[in-house]
Amino acid sequence: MPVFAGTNCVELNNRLNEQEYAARAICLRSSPRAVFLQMDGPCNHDCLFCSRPVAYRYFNLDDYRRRFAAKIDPIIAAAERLNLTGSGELLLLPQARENLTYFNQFVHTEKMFATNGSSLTPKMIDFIAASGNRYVIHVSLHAANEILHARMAGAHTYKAVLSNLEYVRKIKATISTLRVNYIFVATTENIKDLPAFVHFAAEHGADAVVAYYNYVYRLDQKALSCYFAQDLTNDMIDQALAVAKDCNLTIHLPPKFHQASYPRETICGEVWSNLMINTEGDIITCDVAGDSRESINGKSFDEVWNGEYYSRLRSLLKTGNHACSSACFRANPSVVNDFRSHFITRGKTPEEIAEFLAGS
Amino acid sequence: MKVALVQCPVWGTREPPLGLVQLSGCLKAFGIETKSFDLNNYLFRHRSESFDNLWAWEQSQFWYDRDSVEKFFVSVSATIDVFVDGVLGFSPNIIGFTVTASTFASSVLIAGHLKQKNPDCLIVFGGQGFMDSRAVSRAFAEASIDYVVPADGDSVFPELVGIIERKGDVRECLGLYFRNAGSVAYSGDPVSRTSLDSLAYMDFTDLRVQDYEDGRHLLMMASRGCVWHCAFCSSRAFGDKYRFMSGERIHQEIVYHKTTVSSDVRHIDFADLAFNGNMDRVRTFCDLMVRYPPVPQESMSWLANAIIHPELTLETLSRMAAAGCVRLIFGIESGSPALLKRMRKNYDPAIAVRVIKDARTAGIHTTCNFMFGFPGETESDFEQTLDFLRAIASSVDRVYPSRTYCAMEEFSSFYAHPEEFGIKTPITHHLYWESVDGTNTYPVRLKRCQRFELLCRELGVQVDSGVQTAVHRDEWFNLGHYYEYRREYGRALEYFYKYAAEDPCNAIVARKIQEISAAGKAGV
Ligand code: B12
Ligand code: SF4
Repeated sequence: MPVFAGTNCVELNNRLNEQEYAARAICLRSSPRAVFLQMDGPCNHDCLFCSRPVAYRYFNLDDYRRRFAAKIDPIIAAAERLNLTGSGELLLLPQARENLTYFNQFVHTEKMFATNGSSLTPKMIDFIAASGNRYVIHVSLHAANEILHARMAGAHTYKAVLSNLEYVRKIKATISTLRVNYIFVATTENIKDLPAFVHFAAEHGADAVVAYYNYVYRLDQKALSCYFAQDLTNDMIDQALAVAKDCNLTIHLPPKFHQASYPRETICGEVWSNLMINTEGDIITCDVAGDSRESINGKSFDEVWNGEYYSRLRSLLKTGNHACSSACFRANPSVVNDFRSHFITRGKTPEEIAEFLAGS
Repeated sequence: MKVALVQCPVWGTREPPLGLVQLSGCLKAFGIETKSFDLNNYLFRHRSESFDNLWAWEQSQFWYDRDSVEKFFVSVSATIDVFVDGVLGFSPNIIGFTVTASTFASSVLIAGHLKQKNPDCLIVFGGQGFMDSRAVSRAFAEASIDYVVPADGDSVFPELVGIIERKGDVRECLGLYFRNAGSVAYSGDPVSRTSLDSLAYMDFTDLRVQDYEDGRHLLMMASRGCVWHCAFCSSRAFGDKYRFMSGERIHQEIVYHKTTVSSDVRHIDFADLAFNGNMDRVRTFCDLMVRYPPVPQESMSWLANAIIHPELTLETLSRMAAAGCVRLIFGIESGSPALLKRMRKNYDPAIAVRVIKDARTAGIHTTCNFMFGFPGETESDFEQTLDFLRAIASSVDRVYPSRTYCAMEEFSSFYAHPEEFGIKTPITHHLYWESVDGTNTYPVRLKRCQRFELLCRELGVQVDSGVQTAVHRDEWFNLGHYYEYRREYGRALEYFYKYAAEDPCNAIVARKIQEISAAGKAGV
């Protein structure tokens, strides 16, 4: 059991975790700073780039409590951030408020989740605001106009989303515990809209714009990758930066293509700081991780966190990032020019990977 | 593992079948690939003129008779083939049928077709039809049927699918009948959900609201069972306890369907037997509907069956009206406190008068249902019902006098204990039963209903179903059938002729006259 688990210890755990990362320790006394809990729910959108499988199991709180709470709850309590990830809209789950109420007990842990905005209704915002917990909400908009939004989302919810965001802005003005970032998953379909999107976000009181390159999951979505529109993408990134500067808005952008120089490669810290768990108890270190995985079933938390899987990755990472992914631009921005950094290899056969790479 | 869900006729066609859309939601929430097929609606929409009224409520009996259904299916065999191929085209490993008494025969026939075309598919029957344990043996008499679930399928069915997928032992799935070494075995009673809050939402992906007759409203069942146990009632749910969704959960589901199913939906019919069986949830629900309207700036209306409850005060009713409630339907049944007690209907008629008045003040329409000739009903009890009608005449919007007057339904407690209620045994007909002392017969009940309707007319109270203008026709129609049943064919003919004189185009009556006359029965 990590040393700080179970107490109001976020600060202490953070510090220790940083030290252990700095020392590239293999066996950690700190627990993860970020816990990613997969909270899949139903979805009312059908985004162009969506990775959702045909059938997937929704999060069920009773199930979580029965199977994982005893092991994971103390870890969440010591974590800086609980990231509720997964497919679909967690706010559309039948027990959405009960689910959030459960995790609100960890008052020192910041909660973060993504939504397409249509389920971020005034009722939900009031509820989140009233909880007193710190929340970072990522609103996946991807477009700043109705037609493009419908194209990206496969749904006609733009007006509903906008009216929800209007309410969010009103509530945000009255509390300090809520941050809202507008998300732009950049694809060849919407990249031209990025500067307008930044402007739109500033006008609507977003705290930041976060733009990512679309990770390609399926072959038929390959053409959506900005990798195939590099000059245009670079141009839009420049323009978006300029707009953000003008509007004094924080913006997070992915690295541009074919630059003369890139920031130096760092050793990825996710294996020291992250734990991602799904409803089956499977564990991975981060969303672009390779095929190997761990499971908490039949093990204690410590047997996972300091067990074979994490220890092996931590030792390998000492020698460079290829340990978990040779093409991850989070740790090495220059690999943006390698198409392998734009798609998810997890679960794919070498033949499938070759198919993805063909022509790029 | 793929699961196909099938609804066979006859069932409602106004909106998607609740059982199926609920099960589909539950299976999908467990990550099971599921597709729903509604043969009932498919046949209804593709029916020819000659079968126009097969879906009429009073024709339900047709569907209980396997031979009739089989003949009908043969006559529409091309349509049936397309449907069966559609189901098999999805390549399901398991096919689930939602079965009630009215869909049993058709389900068995379709299951047979499917199994014949794909013997590898496992066939599971479930639904309210299996509250009657005799239906379980009838189902297993069919070689095509592998499992029967006589329980809520919300958790049982996904669990069964999971066990089949991992080739586990089906005995571990509680709530399941299965074949075992030549006989049928039961795995034991499942633990039924005490709250419906964690229930997955209904899933309308395949059975779209807009493909049904009404197309613009949503049917929801936000509770199961009832808080009361009226002696005449057969509408029980599995588990028999009243289980419900909280107000928060109901609101959440409505908002969900608004954002996913159809933005055209502006109205909700609650199919709950007693929507206000728990008043707290009603208040919470209404507050949420007012505070967070599912369609901002637009109204969303709803109606529900309700019980008379002292907490239905003017203030609460006004909250309900503000939350979109446009109609409440009350099972009043009688105005006599003594008879209500005998019925085990737990309310005070004086409170009912107040509630109905307050509902009108609040702007909510009311429909009140009445029955006639409940065992033990005296003339004085009936007079009190008429007094009650007078008391509510200016505030009630509609009344619905039961056209079966007082039917002896299977699974009701007075059917199970006739001696306790002074009913002559054996009960040979659910409509034509009599009291031991012979004072309570079908014609007596019919007469009371007529007197009730006449008073409605006098008082200007609207009677449901448009029968207001034909009280006497109703009498002739029903008495014709009654005397035919009693083999008093001469009297039967007399009533059918009276009816035909006023409504010569009525095919049912014309056929009756022809049948009785042709067989020369009237002279017997
Ligand atoms: C709503 C309702 C209707 C609605 C249905 C609307 C719709 N689109 O679905 C309408 C008004 C159309 C209707 C009609 C009739 N109804 Co009705 N109805 C009901 C009621 C009130 C609720 C049923 C319901 O939807 N429950 C909610 C859903 C989610 O539950 P469910 O369907 O039971 O499904 C659950 C389980 O049964 C099980 N399950 C169901 N299917 C399957 C399949 C599998 C494979 C598995 C594993 C499990 C499973 O899991 C489900 C989820 O938990 C019940 C009484 C009650 N119980 O309260 C009567 C009831 C079902 N109806 C009944 C009858 C008889 C009829 C009629 C035939 C009446 C008539 N006069 O002939 C007509 C149909 C004729 C016609 N022409 O329409 C009877 C059935 C009796 C029986 N033993 O089969 C009931 C029980 C009432 C009663 N006791 O008299 N009805
Ligand atoms: S909102 Fe998210 S989960 Fe839903 S379709 Fe879009 S990307 Fe997929």
